[in-house]
Amino acid sequence: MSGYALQIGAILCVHVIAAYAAYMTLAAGQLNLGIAGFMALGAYGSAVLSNAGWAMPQSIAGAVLLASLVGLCVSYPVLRARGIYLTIATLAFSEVVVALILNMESLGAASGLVVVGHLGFWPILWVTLGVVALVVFLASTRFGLCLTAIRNDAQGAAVFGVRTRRIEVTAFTIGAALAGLAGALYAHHFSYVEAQRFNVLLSTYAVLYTLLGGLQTPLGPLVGAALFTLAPELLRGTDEWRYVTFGAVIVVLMLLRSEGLFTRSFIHNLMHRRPAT
Amino acid sequence: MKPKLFLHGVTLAFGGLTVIDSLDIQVMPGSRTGLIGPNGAGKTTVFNLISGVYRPNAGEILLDDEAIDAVPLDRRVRLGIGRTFQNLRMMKHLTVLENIMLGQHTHVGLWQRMLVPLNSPFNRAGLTETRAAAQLMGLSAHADLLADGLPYGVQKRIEIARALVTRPRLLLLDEPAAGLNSSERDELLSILLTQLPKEMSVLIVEHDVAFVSSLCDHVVALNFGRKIAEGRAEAVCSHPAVIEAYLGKDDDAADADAGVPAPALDETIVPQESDQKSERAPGAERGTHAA
Amino acid sequence: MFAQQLMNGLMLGGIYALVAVSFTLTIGILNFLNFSIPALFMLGGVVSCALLAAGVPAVGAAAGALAATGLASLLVERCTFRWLSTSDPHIPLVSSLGFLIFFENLVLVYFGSDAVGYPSPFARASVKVSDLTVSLPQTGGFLLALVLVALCYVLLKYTKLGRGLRSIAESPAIAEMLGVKVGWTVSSVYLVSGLLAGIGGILFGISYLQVSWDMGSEVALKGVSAMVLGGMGNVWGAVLGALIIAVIEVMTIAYLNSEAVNVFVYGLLLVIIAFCPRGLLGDRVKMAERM
Ligand SMILES: Nc1ncnc2c1ncn2[C@@H]1O[C@H](COP(=O)(O)OP(=O)(O)OP(=O)(O)O)[C@@H](O)[C@H]1O
Ligand SMILES: [Mg+2]
Repeated sequence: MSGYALQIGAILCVHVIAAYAAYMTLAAGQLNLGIAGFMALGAYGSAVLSNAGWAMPQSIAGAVLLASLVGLCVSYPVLRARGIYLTIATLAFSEVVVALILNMESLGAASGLVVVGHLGFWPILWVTLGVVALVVFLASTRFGLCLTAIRNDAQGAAVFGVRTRRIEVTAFTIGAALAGLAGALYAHHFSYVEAQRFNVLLSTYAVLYTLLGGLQTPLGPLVGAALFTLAPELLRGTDEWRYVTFGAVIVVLMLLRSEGLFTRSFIHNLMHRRPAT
Repeated sequence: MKPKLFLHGVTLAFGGLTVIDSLDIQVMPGSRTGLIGPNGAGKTTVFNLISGVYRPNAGEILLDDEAIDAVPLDRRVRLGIGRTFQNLRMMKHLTVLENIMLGQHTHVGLWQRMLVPLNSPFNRAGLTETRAAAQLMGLSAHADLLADGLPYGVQKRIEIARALVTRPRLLLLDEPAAGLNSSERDELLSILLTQLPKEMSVLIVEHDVAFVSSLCDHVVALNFGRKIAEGRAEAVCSHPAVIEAYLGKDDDAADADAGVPAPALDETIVPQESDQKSERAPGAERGTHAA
Repeated sequence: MFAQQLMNGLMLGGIYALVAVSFTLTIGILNFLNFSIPALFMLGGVVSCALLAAGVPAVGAAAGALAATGLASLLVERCTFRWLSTSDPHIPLVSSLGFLIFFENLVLVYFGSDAVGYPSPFARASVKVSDLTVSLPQTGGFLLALVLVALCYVLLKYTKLGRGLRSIAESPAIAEMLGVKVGWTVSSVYLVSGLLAGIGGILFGISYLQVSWDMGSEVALKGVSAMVLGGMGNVWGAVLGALIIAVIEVMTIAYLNSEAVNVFVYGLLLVIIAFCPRGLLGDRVKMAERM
């Protein structure tokens, strides 16, 4: 594979993991626009640890731990809010994290931070596949059942004994951990981090991939992220128009397939039509 | 004998409107108690009080002689209170089987919830129970379909199956037969008569007098949140206050003169209710969410 | 120095206020966070800039820009409103994000990624009041913003349209039954909201003399924060929030550095939501009443 393809592959993997981070809270019905903030925590956390001489796996694990701890602490106050308030709170959190980093000279402030060590495409791919497997597994358990139930009707789920708050906090924390992982992988792939990159747009795209792929199955984010990361690459000829097209595609897609591309009934039809044809 | 469930002077007001007014209801262990009353009498609100959606403004709710007012909504099912919803609360992105499985939530340990896939052999006990409940309610053919978009009657039966797998000791059924055709209704009646454990206490809201009379040994009639009559089914259904509540005062006087109140009641209630209810449903539902 | 900064802050606050009120209208009435508003803001600035540069007189340029934002806003309405009533609140949000990406990149294609100088007919007209420099276009814009917000308030509070809107905020279904033309009324909400954002964009151009394809994002984030700060759906709250945020921003830049702005603005926002999870002034329906 060419260097360019590997580069795109690594970016795709980071997008997929970020999309799963967005998926965890969205699956429970809440929109988290703080993904970029947790990615920044992961990226800078692992960068600092690596630069302090830790081995790469340990520093990435440390960064994931940091992101999930912060996620856990933030989730309690943030999840008291609902709907739009929650979305705005997560967005504010993300902006605060980035703004704090930009104010810290020790983290390189606006000029960014060079990271010791480089992570190639293949290890990133294995980690990504692990993440996909993990989320697919979680979605197949009762925990996944509860997430869907809370998204469909939180009060209805509570009547059957589902402690909605706990489930939401767990999902939010796992999402934070995944975002941290995505950030750490990103930092080590490019060996350089820059706080400005972790802006609202990044969170927005993670959410878009997930919603366009569909929330109904744990494969939705994978489909969404893959399609919408790779399609613009294929459209490279029409370089400047590709994001115009992207915007239009989103609008049309929401009109035609508001539940996302990859729904349960889609899979059901696929499986039940096969034998007949 | 101690009552299984005892509502004692329970009062609930929304804003300034008193919806339940110092209500006393007793459900004896193992009894089948009916709750009847015209539209808007407060029957569903009583269920919402018992299952913890609302807290009473005054009075208390005793389960096995213990006040449960402090127990939050999501822990009432642990006390053995299972319920169905009049306005169908299906999880539309879950299959029928998964919807039913949700009812088992409190019977499964924390680690099992996180670590055992629903289709794995480690969940065999849960699957077996779910399938049995589905079969009991005649849902086997639909088991793997998404609940969303299934016919009303089927969704009603999913509700009941889901309530059954919570293994309730007190089962609350909110208009289980509404929207079913007469053969489905007879089938449901025979299931409820024969398949429920004898020691399970059941409180059931239903407008169909024949259904209530054949199932319930005790009936409470409500109007405007107050109890207006109580006793054996036939006695309550022909009680003048109940007829007045359903038919209005003038008709009642006329009917009383004619001397045939009971059949009129039977015929008038049943067909009308199911239509009106579906109209009212969204409004009531929204109120519940706002609370 | 301090007085000058305070005045600069208030001028900036006028623009934030327009955007905040624009957000507040769709949230307060339709419970919809309209992500396309930054794009409408940008369209107002960029289209008027292009028209001015092409030699169109000021009034014509403003009218053209507002026509563009109004049309864009109605286009957004066509593609989002019908999802607002469905159960999934994320669909309209994603559609409006799609519009944001679409419009911003469309402008990027035609205008390029660099900021463009705004050929303001008023340029840098200003007067000196003791040692304060008062920019005339900025002051005019600030007053215009206040007048527009006041008009909005009157519109919501005292007109038939406003009553219709408030009934829709309570429940679209009931509003429909009461004879409110829901479709038409909702279109006018989008239109008013879009026009406010568009005017904000024009004022931004006049005040700061440059426009760019991404000028909407930062301003919109501040506008959303202002709205939450003042209480969602509350018009005057949004103005107050906008002024507070703008003054904090200008003061931070003047006395600390520009990187610290977001720490204070978003930190404040986070703390407020953490302590008042439903915003400073309670929930949505109550706000609709107050409007
Ligand atoms: N959340 C709420 N807020 C305000 N009023 C409510 C709320 N829930 C119920 N009510 C009112 O309480 C009264 C009783 O409602 P409830 O749903 O309990 O009646 P019901 O007996 O179940 O009627 P039906 O036979 O139609 O199901 C009605 O007047 C209803 O409008
Ligand atoms: Mg009812």
